[in-house]
Amino acid sequence: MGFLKRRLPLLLCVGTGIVFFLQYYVPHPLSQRLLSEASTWVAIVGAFAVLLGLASVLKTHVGRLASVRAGWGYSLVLLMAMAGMTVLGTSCRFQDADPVSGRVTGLGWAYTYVLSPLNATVFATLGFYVASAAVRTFRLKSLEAGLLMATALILVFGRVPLAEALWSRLTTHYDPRQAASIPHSLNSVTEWIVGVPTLAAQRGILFGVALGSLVTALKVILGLDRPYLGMGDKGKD
Amino acid sequence: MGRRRIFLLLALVMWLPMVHPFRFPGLSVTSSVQALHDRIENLPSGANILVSFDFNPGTKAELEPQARAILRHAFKRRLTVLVLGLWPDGWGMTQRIVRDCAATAKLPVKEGRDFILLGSQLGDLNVSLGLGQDIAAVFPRDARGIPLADIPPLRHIRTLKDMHLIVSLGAGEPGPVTWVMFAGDRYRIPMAAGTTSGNVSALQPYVQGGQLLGLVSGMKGAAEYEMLTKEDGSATRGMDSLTLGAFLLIGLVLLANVNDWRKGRS
Amino acid sequence: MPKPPVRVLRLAVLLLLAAPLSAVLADPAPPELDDLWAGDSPWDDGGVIAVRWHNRQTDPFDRFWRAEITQIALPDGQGRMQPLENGPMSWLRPQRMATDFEAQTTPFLHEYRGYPFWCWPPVPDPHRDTHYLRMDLLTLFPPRQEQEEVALQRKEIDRLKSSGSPHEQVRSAEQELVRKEEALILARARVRAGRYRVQMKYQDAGMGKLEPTGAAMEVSATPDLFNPCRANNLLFSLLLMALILVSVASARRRKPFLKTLPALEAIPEAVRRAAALGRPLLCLVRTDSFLTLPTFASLSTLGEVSARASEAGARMTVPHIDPLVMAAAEELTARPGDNVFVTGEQFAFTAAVTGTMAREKPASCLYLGSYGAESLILAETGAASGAFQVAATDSVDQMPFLVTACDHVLIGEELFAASAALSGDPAGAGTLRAQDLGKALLAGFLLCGAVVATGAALSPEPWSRWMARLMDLAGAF
Repeated sequence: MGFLKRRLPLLLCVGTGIVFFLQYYVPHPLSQRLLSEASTWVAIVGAFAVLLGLASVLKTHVGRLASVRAGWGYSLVLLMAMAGMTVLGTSCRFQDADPVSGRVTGLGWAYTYVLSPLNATVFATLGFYVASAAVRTFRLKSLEAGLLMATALILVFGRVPLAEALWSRLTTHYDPRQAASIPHSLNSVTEWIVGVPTLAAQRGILFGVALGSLVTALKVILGLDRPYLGMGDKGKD
Repeated sequence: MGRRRIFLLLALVMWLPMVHPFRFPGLSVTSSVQALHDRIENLPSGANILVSFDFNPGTKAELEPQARAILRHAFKRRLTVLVLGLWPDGWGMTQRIVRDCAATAKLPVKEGRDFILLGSQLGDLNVSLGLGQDIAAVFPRDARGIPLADIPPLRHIRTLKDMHLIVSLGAGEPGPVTWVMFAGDRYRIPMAAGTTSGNVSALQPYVQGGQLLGLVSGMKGAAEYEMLTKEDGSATRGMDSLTLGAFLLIGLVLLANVNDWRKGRS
Repeated sequence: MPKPPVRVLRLAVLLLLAAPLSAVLADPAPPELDDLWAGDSPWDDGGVIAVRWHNRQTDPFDRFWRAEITQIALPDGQGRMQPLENGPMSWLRPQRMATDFEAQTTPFLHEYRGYPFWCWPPVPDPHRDTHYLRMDLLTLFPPRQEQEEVALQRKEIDRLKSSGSPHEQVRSAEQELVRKEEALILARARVRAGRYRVQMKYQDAGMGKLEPTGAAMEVSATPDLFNPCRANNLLFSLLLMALILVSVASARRRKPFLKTLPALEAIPEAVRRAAALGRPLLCLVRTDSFLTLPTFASLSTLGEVSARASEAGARMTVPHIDPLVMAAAEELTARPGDNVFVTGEQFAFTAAVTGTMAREKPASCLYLGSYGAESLILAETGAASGAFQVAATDSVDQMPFLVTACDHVLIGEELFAASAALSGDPAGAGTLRAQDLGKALLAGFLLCGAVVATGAALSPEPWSRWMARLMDLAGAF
């Protein structure tokens, strides 16, 4: 049993890892076909995983409804919405518009007038949270905090046309002998901040992420980290 | 100031320009947007461009104005526009946007002649790799169910390599980065992107590296594009709200700092 | 000596004048193509033929060139080559045949830019123009009959479906479509494996037809087993593998020193806080897809956190956006029931989780993985509910939001280091050391490159020239 529960999964993982590691360096059509077949298998397994998710949702919310626990009202709304969309979808074969007449189906209506506005609404609340986070965070408590605040102010102003107009007016009234050293466009300052120091920092972080990803992948391929073996021995050597 | 008051004030300030437009001056065009505009402007009539809608309704507030501005420009230049999406949950919205742009275009624009809605596929890099081999293998029929072989412009368009430009509008994965890596770099097709203002920094390396010839960023980028094409679209109208919201934000930050300073003194 | 007659003199003068005139009026010699070569395009999956040549002379502006390729044999079902009588011919026109060295060779070399030096073609002779054509056989010889049959069969299926034909008829048509699609795949494979003849031809103004120049060449395309253009990538990966194995072996003998980060110390603190306050610990593993590496790292960290929470007696809530990740998390957490699938929609998930935060008021929130626009919504709601928040993310564009709204943040590679650091496992510490050594190597290259590039730009001749050559040499790998 030890072989089936521990050794076999390890061999499968290491073997598959090595095969697909080498696949990248082999241009032969069989190699490309192997990759596309594996991708198809992954997509199929992923599709079946939706059933797992559905089972989890039903278990959680039907359970809450049955035992009338706190929040049972929300669970009722969720289950009704889920059932409603399923009925709408199956009744029109999951098409949002009739391919022949172009008439919007029930699913299309629910998508356009329920799902889309709800998604857009939650995304829109991000603007409010940005405001409250900015007011909370941008305080002159230290040099670093001051630098953060100054950069943020310049970047916010740089995205706003009126600020651009005001900046141009201010800079054209400056001493012309020193004008060459002052950027006449706030856009150029914003672009410089985004394009030079920010990008430099991002590239450094991306290097680290890439290396960390590479090491994580190699750990799994080499069998040093075995999360697929579960909690038993924490899946590690 | 309490969080709720901030939210209320912000909502009020951003709603005001929708009732009474101010048309604040000062919008200037960035080089990235200018580059994309110039590329489309200089394409010959009948050239083929692919526009990939890689977003869902959650991010349409910033990306839909960009999509409309670019599509209107492409229709005005009489380009052949192929439209597809890598996010299936955004496909319904995509069809509505494209058909609405076609219906409101100044010159007559016909589906199947000036633009083709190919469809949506979840498969990210496999889609772009497959399109590089044979478009009809990935999308055998268009959104109306007509086989691609029966659509006249597509008789001469077989693979991605027949595209003169690819524009990817998106803010996540799959999205512009997928297209850059598996289409732009692989097949050396000119590429541009549109994204939300929060995601711009993620695409800057590709602009600097020359892999993206242009980048439209958020609603401001869409407004810049509308200015170049001399259209008065939703992005231009939205800039007023954005302007007032930004000034309010700065004002609140400064007020909070002044308050802290006074508390510190007392 | 008597003088020759006038008529003879006139004839001699005419003959003398006519000789150069006839040379001018006669057909010019065909343009020469030096080192004409055609063969398999290297290091690809087959199906592409390459033709290369040089030419020294200036072409007239109205000279028309093309490379003609004729199919002369195709493999049969048993793989034997069957010669074709009057096989189809296709052609490809070179972009330009002008003498501009830069214009011709830059596109040629551009194809190899970014590849290591052992993949570069021979350096072009600056006194000659190098031309290079890639002929994709499927583009030039598409199997039209099979393609049309597939298209017609699809039309037939559409017609049967729209006319409400019986299900068996539709199914039979679909099976026929599968057979025809397989035939199309076979036809494409035959085209790629066939044998071809390549002939360069030209036509000048006034010539009635295209004339051949240079020898006709028989070629075929073959798929290759190894792409040496990626050998540098392979070498680096093997080096890193070796580094990992050596570091792990060394760490098992003597555990290396691991610097503590405040954010790493904050994770156990978050668990302790949840246990002390009797409120749940909310842990999010946010991912774009199950297959990404940040997902693996986040799941490993989740496993460690779950083990500590179980020991401390703290409750955990782990809402998921991806059912596959949920299935994996159930295997790794001490209490599988803590994992709940919410929804696959980004903002619906956000709304659900923020609602959970507002109602349950978690003591601590852990944000692990790759976040999108919803990161600030989640973090601000968590802050408003009074939770202690720690984030670990590789999403570069969301880091600013999480840094402002959370108490501690692990950025970039620290996400990948978190599980190893939390577990205290020597093998994990060894891989962290390997990661750091790899990063040190990269940083060293970057620093050297920056110094050399700055020197090349600022220093006087001949130093700047040598530094530019050094940069080219570095770029050659």
